[in-house]
Amino acid sequence: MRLGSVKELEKRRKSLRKARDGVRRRIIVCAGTGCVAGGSLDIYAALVEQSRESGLDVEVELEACGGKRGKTGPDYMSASGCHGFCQVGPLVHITPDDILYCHVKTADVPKIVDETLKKGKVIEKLLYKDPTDDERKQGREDITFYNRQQRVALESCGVIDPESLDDYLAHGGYQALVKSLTEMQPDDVIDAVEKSGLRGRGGGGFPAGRKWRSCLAAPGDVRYVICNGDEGDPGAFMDRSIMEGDPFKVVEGMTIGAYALRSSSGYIYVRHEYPLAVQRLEKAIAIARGAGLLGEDILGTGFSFDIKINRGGGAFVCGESSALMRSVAGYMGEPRPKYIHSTEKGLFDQPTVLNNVETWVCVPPIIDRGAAWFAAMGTEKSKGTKAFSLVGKVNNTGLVEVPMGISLREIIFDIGGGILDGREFKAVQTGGPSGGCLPADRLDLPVDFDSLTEAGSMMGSGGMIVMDDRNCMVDVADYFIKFLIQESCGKCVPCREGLVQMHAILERIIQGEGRPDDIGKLEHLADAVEAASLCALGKTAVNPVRSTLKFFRDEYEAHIKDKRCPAGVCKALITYRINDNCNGCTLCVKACPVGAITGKKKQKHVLDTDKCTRCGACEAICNQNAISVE
Amino acid sequence: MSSVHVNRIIDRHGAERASLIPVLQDIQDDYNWISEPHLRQVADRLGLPLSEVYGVASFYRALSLEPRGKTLIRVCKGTACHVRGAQLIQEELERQLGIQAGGTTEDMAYTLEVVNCVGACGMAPVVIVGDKYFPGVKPHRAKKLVQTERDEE
Amino acid sequence: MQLTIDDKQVTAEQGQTLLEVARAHDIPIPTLCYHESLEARGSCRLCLVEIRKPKWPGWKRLVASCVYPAEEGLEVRTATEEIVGIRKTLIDLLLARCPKNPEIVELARAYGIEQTSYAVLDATRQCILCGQCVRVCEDIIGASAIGMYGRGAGKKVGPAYGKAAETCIGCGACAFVCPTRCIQVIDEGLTRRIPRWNVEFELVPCRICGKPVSTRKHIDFVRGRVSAGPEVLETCSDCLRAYYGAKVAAEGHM
Repeated sequence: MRLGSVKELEKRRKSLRKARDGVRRRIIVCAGTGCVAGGSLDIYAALVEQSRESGLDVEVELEACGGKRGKTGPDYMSASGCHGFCQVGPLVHITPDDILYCHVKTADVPKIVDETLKKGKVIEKLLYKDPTDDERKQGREDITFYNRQQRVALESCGVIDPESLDDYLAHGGYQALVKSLTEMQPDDVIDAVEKSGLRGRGGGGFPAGRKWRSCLAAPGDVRYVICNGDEGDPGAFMDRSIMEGDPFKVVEGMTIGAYALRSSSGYIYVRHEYPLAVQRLEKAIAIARGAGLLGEDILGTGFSFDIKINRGGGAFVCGESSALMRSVAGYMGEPRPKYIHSTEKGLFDQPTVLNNVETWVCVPPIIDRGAAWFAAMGTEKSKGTKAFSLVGKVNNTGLVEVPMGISLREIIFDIGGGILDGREFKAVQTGGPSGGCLPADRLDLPVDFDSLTEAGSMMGSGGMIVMDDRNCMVDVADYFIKFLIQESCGKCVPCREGLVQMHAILERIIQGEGRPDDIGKLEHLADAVEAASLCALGKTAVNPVRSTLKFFRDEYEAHIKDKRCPAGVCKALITYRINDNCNGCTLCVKACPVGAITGKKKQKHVLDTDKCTRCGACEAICNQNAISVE
Repeated sequence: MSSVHVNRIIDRHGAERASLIPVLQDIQDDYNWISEPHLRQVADRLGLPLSEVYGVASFYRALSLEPRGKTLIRVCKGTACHVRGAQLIQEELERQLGIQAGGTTEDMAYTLEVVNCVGACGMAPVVIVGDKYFPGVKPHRAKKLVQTERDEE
Repeated sequence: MQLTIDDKQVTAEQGQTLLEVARAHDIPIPTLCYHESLEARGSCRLCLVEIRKPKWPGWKRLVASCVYPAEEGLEVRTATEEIVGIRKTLIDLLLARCPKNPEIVELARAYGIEQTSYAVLDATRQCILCGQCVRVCEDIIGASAIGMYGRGAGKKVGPAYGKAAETCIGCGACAFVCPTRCIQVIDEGLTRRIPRWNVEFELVPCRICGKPVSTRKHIDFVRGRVSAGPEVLETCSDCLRAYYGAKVAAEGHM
């Protein structure tokens, strides 16, 4: 249905809101990538089918929920984007009762229908079990993972149906665009973004308003807006979840930006590894176009703007803005020197504003609720909230959004529920391959752009990977260098050749062949690669090595001097043994791929260290803690 | 002989420079790799030197200039997966399939690839077989994963 | 505009790069990937210089002078201790890449490096991936017979699929610009081979002295672009010079 004017849109919103308010219960099944992998789409289908069969009044379209019904409306069932709590998925959330069911299986559906939907009873065993006190918690309000968060970018992610414009409108979608088009001049929009203090969420933290203003000031008639959805930092999936869970907000944010910049053409560059994001965005764009919210003469205001999606080619370097623009234009993603600003000469050599997904989705709420509202959150220099993907060796993994300035400790230990299996916290890695590893004595660091950079890491796009005492810091440094060797474009000498040599040094340290001057060599190379590389990828590539050398130097020295890997990771330096905990269950005997373990049932097994390839299969399968690593 | 299908792909995107990567991606999707005749056809139709098109195709990891197996097995080695033992999963899969990462089995059934994060970090370590995600994979389950896949054939 | 390079006041024109300005004033800056006829690529990083701006006290930055445009009032330093140190490391890295390339070995010696401090992974490598050959082939000749392939440490240069390119005319411009002289053009009798690109060509003999002029493909390529007959195109440069020299001597003009 085409919405030809603002009036028509508001009329539509009013009727959808009425429908929404009439809904008795809302049942939201998470259809983020994690839960889909756990079978959530089947769960959703079964829920709809079985509740209908049992006579419940169920609707799957918001539009159908309104009308001439009595006081009790229907149950509205929909799939949603990522709820963020991937660790305990597949998730089913029921509102307004606030019941969150975790680890749901299709087999649980009949019970959910009979007990909860029909009788209103809570099924205890499907509730979240808090690892800190072993208690069952009913809903988001009771679970620290959720109740400590403050969601702006992720506000509707995991709540609304990402494929329904109606649901988006009922949740206040396009209010900000309407406000921009009817009450604000383009410059007012830029003013608002500037005053909000919004800084780019893709890594660099450049003030968005200033970027927009310099693009507008650049000579040229054609301007482009680009949404960078090439979230390349390994361990980060905020942007993925937003694109999958709230695609209309990405489109709305870009449309507002285009209005402010007087641009008529936008691009979304989505990572090749995110097929569901591409699918959802394509759908949202098509629906928005059909509704007159994209394309010619948007809402009858005379403003025209359209968006094209480009799929990434599987190159991390294309997250770099100049490389991304080369890629959209059909070239290899080689960055160019940064003193030519893309705000002046960007895509197709025209003035261009590029922001990442999370930055774009902050725009509608800033316009809708005002710059002051946004600026009131966070710290003096880092305003607002920031989404993180909290992953690794932490109890509650998933997506979290918190006000800037909150400490690492609060994120990892309160929201994250502490370290997995009661082990010891060792480090948290932030900022992806451009960031660093921070140790326990930095846990009270406030999380904002500048504090993290000062500490030798980086905000990056928001990956937060927690490591415990079984993670080797030399191995982690080498992991990132290997990653960057594969992902470097290879154009400039320091990045291409320097990283290869840093890897060669790390590799020999890991192999137990480290030399006394290797640490010095690493530091020397790090200086040169940082100073001489052409783009930010190379300049920051040394950070993982630098930060681990700074905070975990003793671990490097243990490898080099004592030929020992304290974390028990580096294969050349460790030995697996079977200890007295062994109860002779033979699981490891079967798991060992090289037949290095022998033993009979109920007798302590024997591990032949000569045959052992240190693959870790025995340790992974043993449930008696009977495998020691020395 | 030029391929009608490839021509259709090019027509859909428009025979211009900016279409190069989308065209190559579609060929990759439909054929599982980009053959030399197809690459030449793209260069001809888009009016670009072969060296340039080959350069672009070889730059992006999502594009393959060699035939790939029927089923693509991807081991995620993002940071979250790495710290939760993805290396051991990769080694186990290499052992099971008898190929190194990046390789294809002789019967062209499987290609094993290592990818730098698929953004499913909450369920690390992850293995993706075809388009199915397997969360929280353990080394001994990696073995099973291939066996199940083989049995389903 | 006015700026200083190594404390020397120099004049520059709008659009000139710092390297161009420095060279115009005989201030040496080493380069490997730069050629005055080609678009600068900024990839070898040897031409790094330090820049400061009087309006931003305390600010400094290292930039590649081959691509950085001259600016009014800029203070440029081309050989600070830091820069020379970085250049040395870069050359050391290139020596590890091409330990047996005479040009690189000589450059390293000039910086006091006899042996690389780093691991040699493949002692046979000769190419530093500066991309001059690719740029000359594409931008000057217009043949685009070779290109850069792959990425990162695996980047390579050559024809597509490693096969002889139909568009190669065997002109040898790639070899002419190569800073490490690692592209060999071998003329034997009336055959030219460029083994690195896997190509072989027929050479056309000079219609006067019989010495090879260039490849048949090159001459045909040029014929399509200029209005000249075989008396020019199929005559070697020595004979052309002799012919026109005699003509000028006899007639006083060409």
